[in-house]
Amino acid sequence: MKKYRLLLVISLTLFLVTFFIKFQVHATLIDVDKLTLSGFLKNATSVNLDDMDEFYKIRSTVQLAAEYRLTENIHFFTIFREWYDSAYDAESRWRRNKGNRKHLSRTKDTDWLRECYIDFYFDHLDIRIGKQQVVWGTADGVKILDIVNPIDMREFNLELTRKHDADVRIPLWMLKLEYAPTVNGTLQFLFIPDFKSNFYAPAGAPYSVRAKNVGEERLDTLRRMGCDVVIHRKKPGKSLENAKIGVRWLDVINGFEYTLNYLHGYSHAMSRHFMGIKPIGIPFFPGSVAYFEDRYAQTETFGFSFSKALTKGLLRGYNFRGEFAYIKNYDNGYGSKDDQVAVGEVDQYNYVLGIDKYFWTNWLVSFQFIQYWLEREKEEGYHYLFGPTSDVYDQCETLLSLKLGTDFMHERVKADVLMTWGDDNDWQINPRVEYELRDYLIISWGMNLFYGHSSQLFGEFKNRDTMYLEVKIGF
Amino acid sequence: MKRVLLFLLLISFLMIHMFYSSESFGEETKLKVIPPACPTCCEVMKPYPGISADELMKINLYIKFTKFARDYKGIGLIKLINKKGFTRTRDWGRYRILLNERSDVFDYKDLVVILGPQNIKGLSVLTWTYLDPKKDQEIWLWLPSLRKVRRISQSEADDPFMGSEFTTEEMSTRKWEDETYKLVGEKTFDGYTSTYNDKTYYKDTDCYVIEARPKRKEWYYSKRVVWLDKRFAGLIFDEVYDAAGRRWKTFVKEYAIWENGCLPQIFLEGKDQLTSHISVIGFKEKDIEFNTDLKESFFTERTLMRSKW
Repeated sequence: MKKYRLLLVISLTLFLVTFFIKFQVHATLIDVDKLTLSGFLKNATSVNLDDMDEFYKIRSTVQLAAEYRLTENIHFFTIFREWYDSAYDAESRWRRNKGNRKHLSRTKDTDWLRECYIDFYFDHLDIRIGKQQVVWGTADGVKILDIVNPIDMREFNLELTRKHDADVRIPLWMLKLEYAPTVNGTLQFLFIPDFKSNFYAPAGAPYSVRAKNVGEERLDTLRRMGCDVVIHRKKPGKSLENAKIGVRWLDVINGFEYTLNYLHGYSHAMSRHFMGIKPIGIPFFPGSVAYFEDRYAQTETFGFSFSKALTKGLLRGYNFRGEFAYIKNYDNGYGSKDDQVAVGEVDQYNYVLGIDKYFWTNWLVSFQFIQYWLEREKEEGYHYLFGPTSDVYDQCETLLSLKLGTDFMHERVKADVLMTWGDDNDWQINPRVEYELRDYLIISWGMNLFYGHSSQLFGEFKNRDTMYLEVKIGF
Repeated sequence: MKRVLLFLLLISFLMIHMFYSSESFGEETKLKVIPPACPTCCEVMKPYPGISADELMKINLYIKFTKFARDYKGIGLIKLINKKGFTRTRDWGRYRILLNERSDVFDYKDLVVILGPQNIKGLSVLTWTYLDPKKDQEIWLWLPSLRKVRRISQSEADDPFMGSEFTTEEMSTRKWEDETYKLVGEKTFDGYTSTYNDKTYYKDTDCYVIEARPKRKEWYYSKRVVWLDKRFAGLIFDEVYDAAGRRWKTFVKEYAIWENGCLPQIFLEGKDQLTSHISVIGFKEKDIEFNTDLKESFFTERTLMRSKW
């Protein structure tokens, strides 16, 4: 079935491209002057730096985007995307878990319809209805306010370091209104009846986070004891009453730009609750079944962001930016390291402050200070656990990031490196070079390097340093 | 005694008033703006006999930033060609609203949208330029790969604009106050044959020749020799000399002279004389419009967020 779908998208792409090129003069069904088509074919291959024949990714992607301007003020836009990752055929190690190949090697469900919406433009009001992504915040490589759409973390944060943020967000069906009562002031209203959770690579995948692997080991232990495991996924239904509501006010006053944000709805992050072992609470008992429930907490997020570029004075050329999010009633597991006892409700305060500046003509230097705060460190005498690592969550986790970027050969070659440091002295370093071979042909090369203890955010991937090559043909 | 003091005070006041007002009065009468003759027509500001280098350069910038109109729309392309002939092309759209006569704060606002190739399609740059010459521009960037608006600081003025021969300063940030000007004389331009299309531009055109030197010390160029068409004082040829005094870059600019007074720039070729790298910016006349009543609210983040690419 999936093969047919892939063939359908490729055929549709070729048909529309041919149609557009050959018959634009004679087209009668649609006005081709109002149609814009664009797309790409891409291959991204990544290997382990220590063992160059260990493939982490051999992903081929085809994408077609189409925009049709029905009138000056009504536009239709859609993106079709299909991809296939043959690393799961080439490497048996990633198939340790049965579902991995199914979940990770190709486009899932209706994800092939990446975006699909219609825009209505009025003097003071823009309306966008359909499957789309909405972006809040100004940070690079981390998500503080950019929380409207769930995220696809199958490659941990590597797509973010490659500036592919748009590919990391999982689009949702929603209604977006942008009302502009003043020249620069805009009130955004979001109504999101659709729900999808964040996607993390399952245990045993190249970039499954430590918490996933630890959790899976715990479940395996239960199974080895002769206990069946049943996980009930309690996903919010797609209904009006479960819809997510978002509001944002954006304004620019004397060059100072700020937003005020509010989001109400179910969190995209799942928390796993242990419901008990039946019939008598002992795993060794014949016929025993351990029950778990995956839940999504209803949260309220209040946030703000700002940016100010200094246009005169001593600090001329510096751009200051920041964003803050207060998340109320966040579900977070607690216990001791690698051993979650239960899940508690705790408020979170997350923020990022950033400074950007160009030096020596075309060298961009961008620094960020990031902190994740918990309202309290402990629950019932246990520490809260840090989601990705299942290690103890300090009340405050700090990250620093530094990005350097420049270009050469009339911007034909672009190079940058993003370095991120965690306060447990763990590191992530991502250098990247992009070469524009032709207008339509881009080649990118880069590395993902990790340092630190294996129970830390970046250190958990320290044996998974990779080098990658991307080839992208646009049309 | 009081009457004498009062009389002297009055005379002093009148003299001071006449001294200051005569300067501005002189400028206003000499650099005269002829108002547009119709709703879609443009203002006209022309050189006059005996005009100074300073005033000629004011007219040149007035034309460069299309200040003769209320707003501007254009679709064009940029070609970047190396000495082996390898060419990269960018299609782009440009929108501008002139606010200098309507605002106490802003000179103009500008939106550039990249229409192709696919890998940068949708990239958009929103720029607000202040009337205060000491203030940098405010810049927002729409990045298609992030689907996000990013605030950026004005890049260094000597940074090449989109990888071309034109620096950021040459394209948009250079202000009248950044240079000193000296009128070299009135000469006939020999013409410039474009490397890109072999066409000879402005042969035997009467010009004002002005030497412009940057006020900044140790800047990326030491001087420019600017050729302005005597008919309307628009820059038609520019020779840039590097810090060592070598003739480094040349630019030729072609205008279309419309009957309604508008003066669109339709062709611009920049050539690095040392590397033979060429950059060409071209607009088709049919894709250029003035005075279409663009609104200031179009030049906001809301418009950037409309981008789909």
